[in-house]
Amino acid sequence: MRGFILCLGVALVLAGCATTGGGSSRSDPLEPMNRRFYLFNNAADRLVMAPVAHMYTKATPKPLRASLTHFFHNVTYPDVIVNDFLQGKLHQGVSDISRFVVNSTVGVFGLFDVARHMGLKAHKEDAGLTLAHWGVGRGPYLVLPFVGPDTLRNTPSLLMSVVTNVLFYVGNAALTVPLAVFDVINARANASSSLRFVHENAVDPYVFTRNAYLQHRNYLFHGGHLPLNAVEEMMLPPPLVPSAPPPLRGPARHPDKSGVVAKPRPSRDIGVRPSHPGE
Amino acid sequence: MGWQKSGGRVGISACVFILCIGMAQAHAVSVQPAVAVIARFQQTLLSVMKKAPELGFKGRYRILAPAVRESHDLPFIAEITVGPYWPQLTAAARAAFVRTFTQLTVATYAAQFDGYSGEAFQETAAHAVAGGDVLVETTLTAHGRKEATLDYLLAQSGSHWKIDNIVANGVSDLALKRAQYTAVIQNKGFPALLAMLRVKVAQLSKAR
Repeated sequence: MRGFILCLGVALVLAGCATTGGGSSRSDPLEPMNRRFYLFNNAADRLVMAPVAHMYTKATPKPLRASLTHFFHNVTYPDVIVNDFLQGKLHQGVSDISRFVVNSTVGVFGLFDVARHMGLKAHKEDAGLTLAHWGVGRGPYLVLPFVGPDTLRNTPSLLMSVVTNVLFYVGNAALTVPLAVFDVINARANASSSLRFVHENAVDPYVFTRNAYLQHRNYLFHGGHLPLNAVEEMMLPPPLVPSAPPPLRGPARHPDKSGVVAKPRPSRDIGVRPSHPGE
Repeated sequence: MGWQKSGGRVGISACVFILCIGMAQAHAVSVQPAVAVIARFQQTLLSVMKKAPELGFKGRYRILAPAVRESHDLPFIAEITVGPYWPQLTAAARAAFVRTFTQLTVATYAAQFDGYSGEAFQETAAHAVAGGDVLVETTLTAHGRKEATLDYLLAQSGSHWKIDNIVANGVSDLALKRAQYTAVIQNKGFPALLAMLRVKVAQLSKAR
């Protein structure tokens, strides 16, 4: 175990070095492997998870699904609380303990989000965000089989989310295994509209998912409200190809020589902004 | 002499105060038209969502098309999304791309905003940002519960303020499109990208 933690620590430090000032290809050096896992996950989803989630959605009324979502969110909430304190967010940690206690008792084991009505809003924290908080570099983007998008820095979250889950300590497999299966199916059902959006709108679903995931992680890193300079910086992404791009293929290969070309707007700063730090 | 000194201080303070008021007013003037553009566009979205079933996809598209063209700087956004490849495109290719990109943008709105369940938009803040642009921060709520943050970056295009980018829950629409489009052009060429966007428009148009 010590060896594993040491290896992970070294890998994260190296990952931090590797990504300073990284552009698109730098943040995804494992793209060929990631794309293969992405296709694998998509196939598994299409063949197994999507039909199961569809049946689940048809068989359960919306209020029941909402309550189950609250319940599964509540049993994983100690992960948020632990990471609040690991990041030194004491006030948020106390608020999240109150939220967990209120929802676990008054909210009937978390089936109802009573705490929200008492002004105790939900936060999102995990081990990856804690490592980011303490300056650990993001590391390469990863697509893990059966898990989905991730980064090297975020991988400890996989273990930590298990050991901080209330169900992990129940000790009755006859109860916890079916609940864990329901958790996965419920989460997949909740993600249906987002996945449909990717399917309907993305011309390169892999690039879409990767960039959306990394940007959203950065947003979570900033507590759900990006600072003004981060928003300004992300408005225009860094150039994919810093120097001259490779020539276009097909009919548009040769530049128009008729002189009828749309004038670029020189007042705008196109594609020269730096990539944003953080997640 | 003391009176003169204190009088001088009062004078300087008054000047600073007036300058601050002036700057605050200038800020308000520069931000307000951009905020109005967002309020008008979101109002149109809400009215379309409330009548979504009766309107159907085509009805929603018909209402949203002028609203999107008026509020979004689509030619500029289209140019940014293909990044370094734009100067290599012919005038005809650019025109075809902007046309298809416009259809895709409107079709995406018409397909996504296809119903109403207590949603509302709230403006939370507006700031003047670098380059004279304006950032308008809003939230989307459903039955009073926050669903998403929507930040709009607007720039002046001629005499109008228009949207250049939308950041939803920290995810930049412009950055996502640019990352995908440049990847497709790099791997498959510009004609393939144009064909893919046309297929997307056709697929979205099948929505109810």
